[in-house]
Amino acid sequence: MPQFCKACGRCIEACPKGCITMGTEIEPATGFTPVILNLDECTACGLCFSACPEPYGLQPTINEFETELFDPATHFGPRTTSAPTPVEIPDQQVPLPELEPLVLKGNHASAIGALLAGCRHFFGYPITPSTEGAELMAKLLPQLDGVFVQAVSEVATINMMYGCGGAGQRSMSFTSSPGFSLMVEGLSYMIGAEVPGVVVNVMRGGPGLGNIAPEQSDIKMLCRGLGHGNTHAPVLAPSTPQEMLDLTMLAFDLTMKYRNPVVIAADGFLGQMTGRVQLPKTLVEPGIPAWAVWGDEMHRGNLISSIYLNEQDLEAHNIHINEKYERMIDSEQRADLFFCDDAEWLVVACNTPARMAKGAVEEMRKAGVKAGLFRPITLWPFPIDLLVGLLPNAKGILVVEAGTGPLEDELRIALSYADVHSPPPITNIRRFGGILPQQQEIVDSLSSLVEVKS
Amino acid sequence: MSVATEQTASEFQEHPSAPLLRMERIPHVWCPSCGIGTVVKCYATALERSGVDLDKVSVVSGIGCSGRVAGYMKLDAFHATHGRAIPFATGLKLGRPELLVTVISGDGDLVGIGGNHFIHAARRNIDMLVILINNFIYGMTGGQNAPTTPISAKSSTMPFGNFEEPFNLPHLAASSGAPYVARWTCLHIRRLTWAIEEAIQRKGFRFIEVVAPCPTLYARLNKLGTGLSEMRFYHDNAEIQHGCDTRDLDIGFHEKIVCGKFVDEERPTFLERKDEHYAKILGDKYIPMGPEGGMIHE
Repeated sequence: MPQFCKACGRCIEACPKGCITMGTEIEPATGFTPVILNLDECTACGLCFSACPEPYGLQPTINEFETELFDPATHFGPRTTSAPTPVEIPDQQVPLPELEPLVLKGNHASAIGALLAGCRHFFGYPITPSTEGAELMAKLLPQLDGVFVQAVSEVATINMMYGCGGAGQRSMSFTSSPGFSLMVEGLSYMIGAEVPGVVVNVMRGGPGLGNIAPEQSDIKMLCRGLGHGNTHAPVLAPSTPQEMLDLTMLAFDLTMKYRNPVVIAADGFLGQMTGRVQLPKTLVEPGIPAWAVWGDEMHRGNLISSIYLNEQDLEAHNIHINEKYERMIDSEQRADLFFCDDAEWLVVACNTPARMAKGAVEEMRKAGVKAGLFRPITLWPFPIDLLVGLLPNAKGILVVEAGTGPLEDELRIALSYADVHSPPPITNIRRFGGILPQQQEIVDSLSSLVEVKS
Repeated sequence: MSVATEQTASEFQEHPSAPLLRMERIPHVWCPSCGIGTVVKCYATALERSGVDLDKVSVVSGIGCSGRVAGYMKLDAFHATHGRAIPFATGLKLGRPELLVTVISGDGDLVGIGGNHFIHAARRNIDMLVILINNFIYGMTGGQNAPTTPISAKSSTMPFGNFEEPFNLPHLAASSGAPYVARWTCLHIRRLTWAIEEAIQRKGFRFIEVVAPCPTLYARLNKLGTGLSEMRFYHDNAEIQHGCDTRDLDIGFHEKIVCGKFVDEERPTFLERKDEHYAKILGDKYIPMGPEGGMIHE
């Protein structure tokens, strides 16, 4: 079949009768010069077929119809296999006995959340301030039928997760900003190949090595720059150790539901902070997804890959991914609304700064000012649907960040896409380098806003 | 003789290595009886003794405890990305071929996350002096397993003891092509200084492993006592075997440590090979790069 012959000449060597000669005509579809067959002497010994390294380079019967390059299915039909169609084995919810609340570090709470969500595969690389999560996993997983591997780098980590996720298993890693930077290539591949996995990014000060103090430094990267290509992943922002556990469990739910990685954006304080954590009522016993490269007859047709060389195929794949993003935007927006119903002054904050903002809002309410805290729990998709309803009452929005402004950027982008072209005035408090905005700063800022308005 | 008196006074007041250190940053961050300070002192002494032009010396470190070395040396110093000190030093050497480029970093940095760069720089025989401080553990992040952690030693990510085979670093370096390979401990201060001094005179990818105590993490997690007891251990268990086959240099948990110079040979460096190759292929058309590193507008 000239379309598949690369003119390597191995069949010429193999033929004992000298039936095959090197061609001279260039095949327009490939640019090669396919071999010429002279079958007068042919004894159908089959040595040329055995020698041919191309799957369709030589065919036992001469083909009578026109063929289209690239897709063998068009002329050979779909690949036949006796394997049954993969059937999904669903997750089971197993009730947990009611326990007294625990007092846990944020990183530990997140690790326990992962275990309760059925994660038994942990890959990680040490980086402050996230390492306690990995250390707890190293201690617990050998006793829980699981695997802990300390990879040699974050690049190795994310690719271990890529492989493990491809097998349909729940895998996770803890890291911090510089380590997360190293992971984004792998994340892009995981998004392209639709492989689940959860990364907890305990953000620290940047850029570069920066320091190990808390900063919301990666919100821009998490929401807008998750590796090359058309990439997005749900970004969950906890603000208490309890949420470190709850959102990690939610992250595993989402990652398996959408076949897309999920990132938890915590900050250095949350990783290290100790707090009261109530365990959930149920834990998850994971099933096997139908798409997994599981390694049995049923799953042998499955392929995990992010390569689509044909332009039409890649466009179609991106349309499919975009539809998934749309579904996430429609149904996964989450926010915590604190005194928002009648709020005239909206504070927007997440992670640890939201705790100071909460204190400031309480203080303002005591002083008779209608302040409210809008705390996004999903940074991507930004919970704009929940915010838009609050805008008619609002006289001003104050964005409080331990960062240089990416949260405000997300807010403004979301407002713009929601066609809110004249939102209430947006001001901000931004501290960075590991310094958090203080409650008093927020109170002062709100007070001066209220004063100017009245 | 007023000059002599002045000299005596300044020697008395100033630490001998002070001219090579950024004294405004001292005291350094390393724990009491950590081995990294020893290595810095040996390096500074060796530099001074070797008589190299200090304006033509630069030191590169990665990330981690040993990664802080560059920040204390009063030389052209660079703090690189985690694990990438060697590619950084490669770029520096190719940018300024006349420099003596030294990499001082730790085991996790150079052969953990940076392992790939390490073997390829040795393979290419890039002209640099690599001093690897091996404390068998990730110190800065709190005692995680390293690619050098001996079997059965405990670390915070191997709480039940390590079961992964560790690297034999001199063998790794030698088999990757390093022309100078030595190993000393922090106890062998003079021999280490001599080794660094000797390595400065050599060319190509020169590798010195320095076994160093980590009293805060490795020794504590493994109940090995204080930094001083580690020194006593080196005293009793370090064996000097120059020229020993690098295959026999594995370090077991709390077992003997073979020290010495294992490889010292000549092999053309990357830049020498490059010049030779292109001169052969391109002849007169080849324009070799000058010691300043290419075209500089005068």
